[in-house]
Amino acid sequence: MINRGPSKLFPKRSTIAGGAVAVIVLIVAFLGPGYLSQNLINLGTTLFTLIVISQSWNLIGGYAGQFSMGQSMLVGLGGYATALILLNSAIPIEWAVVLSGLVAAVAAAIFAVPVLRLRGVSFSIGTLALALAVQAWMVVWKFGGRTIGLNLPELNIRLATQYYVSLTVAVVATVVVAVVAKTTFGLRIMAVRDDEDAAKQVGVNTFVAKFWAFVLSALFAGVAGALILIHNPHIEPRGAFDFNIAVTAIVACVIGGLSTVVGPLIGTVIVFVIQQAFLSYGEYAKVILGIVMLVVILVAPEGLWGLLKRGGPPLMVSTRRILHVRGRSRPKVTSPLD
Amino acid sequence: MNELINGILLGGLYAAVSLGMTLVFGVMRLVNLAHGEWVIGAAYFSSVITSRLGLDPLTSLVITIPVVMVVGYVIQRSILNQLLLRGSEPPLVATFGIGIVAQAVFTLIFTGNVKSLDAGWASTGVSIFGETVRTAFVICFGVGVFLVVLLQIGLTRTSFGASLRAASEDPEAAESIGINVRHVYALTMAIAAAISAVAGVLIGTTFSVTPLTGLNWLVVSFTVAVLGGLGSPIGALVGGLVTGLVQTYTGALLGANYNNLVVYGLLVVALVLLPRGIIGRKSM
Repeated sequence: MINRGPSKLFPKRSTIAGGAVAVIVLIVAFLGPGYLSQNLINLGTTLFTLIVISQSWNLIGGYAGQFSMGQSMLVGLGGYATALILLNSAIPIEWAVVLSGLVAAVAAAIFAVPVLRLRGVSFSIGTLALALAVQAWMVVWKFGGRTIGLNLPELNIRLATQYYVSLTVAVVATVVVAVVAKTTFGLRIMAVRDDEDAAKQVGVNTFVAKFWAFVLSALFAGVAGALILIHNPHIEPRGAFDFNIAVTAIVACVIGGLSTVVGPLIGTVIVFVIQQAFLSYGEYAKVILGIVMLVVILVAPEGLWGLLKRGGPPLMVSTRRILHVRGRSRPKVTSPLD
Repeated sequence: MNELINGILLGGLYAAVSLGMTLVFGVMRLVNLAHGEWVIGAAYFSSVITSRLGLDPLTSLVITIPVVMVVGYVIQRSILNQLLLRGSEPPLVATFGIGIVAQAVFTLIFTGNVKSLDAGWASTGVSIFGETVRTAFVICFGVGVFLVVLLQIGLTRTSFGASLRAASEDPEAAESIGINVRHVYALTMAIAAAISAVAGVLIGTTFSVTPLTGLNWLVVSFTVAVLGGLGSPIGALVGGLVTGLVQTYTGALLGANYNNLVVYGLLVVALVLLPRGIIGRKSM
């Protein structure tokens, strides 16, 4: 991913194929409201919002290598910000969504000062503590409606509009991740991920690199929170800060492939399909997802997308042969620690 | 005075809760993100035994401890050992996955409602220095201190403790002198599960559990372990006492609503200001 070597005059065949698939998927998705039932448009909206959260976690947990357990908090803050803005001001809804992203980003910038000093598991549990603290605070905060939360008046936004908005944000989040992966900023956070001390020694300001990854991640998480609220105009602390939001994003990224652009997309679709299939069976989906995640960690540490790209199971090998891409040298992505 | 006594008693419980985590970290430099689920899982398991067989929760440990030890051993041997070879993140993420599965299983079997264990001593009071405190708190404290002392002696005075410390200091050297490090790691996880089971039963009797309280106990354990210096049993007691006292005093000051908030704040402060703990040791 990192060292593509000198740029070639013609893009790789696999790149063209990938681009074609992406365009087709996008066209199919954008035409969705034309042929999908109300129920499916509804599900699509939720799926795209989940993709936004997954990609937002992918930035901090994947590319920057900081295993955050506080993503629910950022999503919840975005939701509360939207609710409070809409209830207490005349700001139009589209600006409220953007502002909510900024609120989450500013909150992350403040939280970053203590928690980004922490490394490894200390950061993980530090962010979990923050998430639980914010949730505990919301339960007693009068202005936020305590345990009852806040109810918005009817927003009257067409379902198709919600669908397009969520889809657009999901596309933007994915494009941002793809762009970040190619920039020097992306290289810096990946250097931090691979070896923070080494990164520091070659002159990377590791705090600043992690800071912007965290803030950018929070921006998208906050917007996702706003989208969830618009979809269902009621918010209360238990649902808004539900730890399962973070779980879904983390599982999706790990299953699909951390630090890849496509992996979290695949992962989120898999997670969402399993969740929907077992909707009426309680927590079975979570059991299955947890086990799938463990299997992926054990068998395919680079995730399903990594497995596909590497050649993966025999079926894929034959596909690669058909596409004449076999034998093309691929840059090895290894960390200096391996 | 009441805050002082309650804080100290609570500190003993916190030490017991944190001990398993600190042991696992001390031996294999791994923080078990499913530690909270280890703790409340034992409480759930004991609740089944107490209601089926009519045992006291503490007596039910006779059955609970062997079961959780086997579970801990198998999970370490089958999943975590091989991931430890791949660096620090894969096993960490795996423990996260184990926690997710555990949470979901608890919800499936026991629903998301609050559950507590019944014991005669759970609701009675006892007088210490003229202050009435819950008998359960006194038992928690006694058991917590007992576990800390037991673990400390086990680590420093027994040959098994020596092999644990050897595996902790230098796994490869330990392997070369005939210590089966994989087995030692798995036994460590089994012992941690046993200690956590005792703590879980105490929590289930003194307070209550829901499938998601494991996360709160994960944070409490980590706070206690970090305050005392990760990897040190005596440190866990020190960290437990500090956490307990801070919680009871601020609770009296701000009201019980802010109890949890205080622990989370304390964690962040401890992590940033005292990354090596109060005592300042990192190894066992």
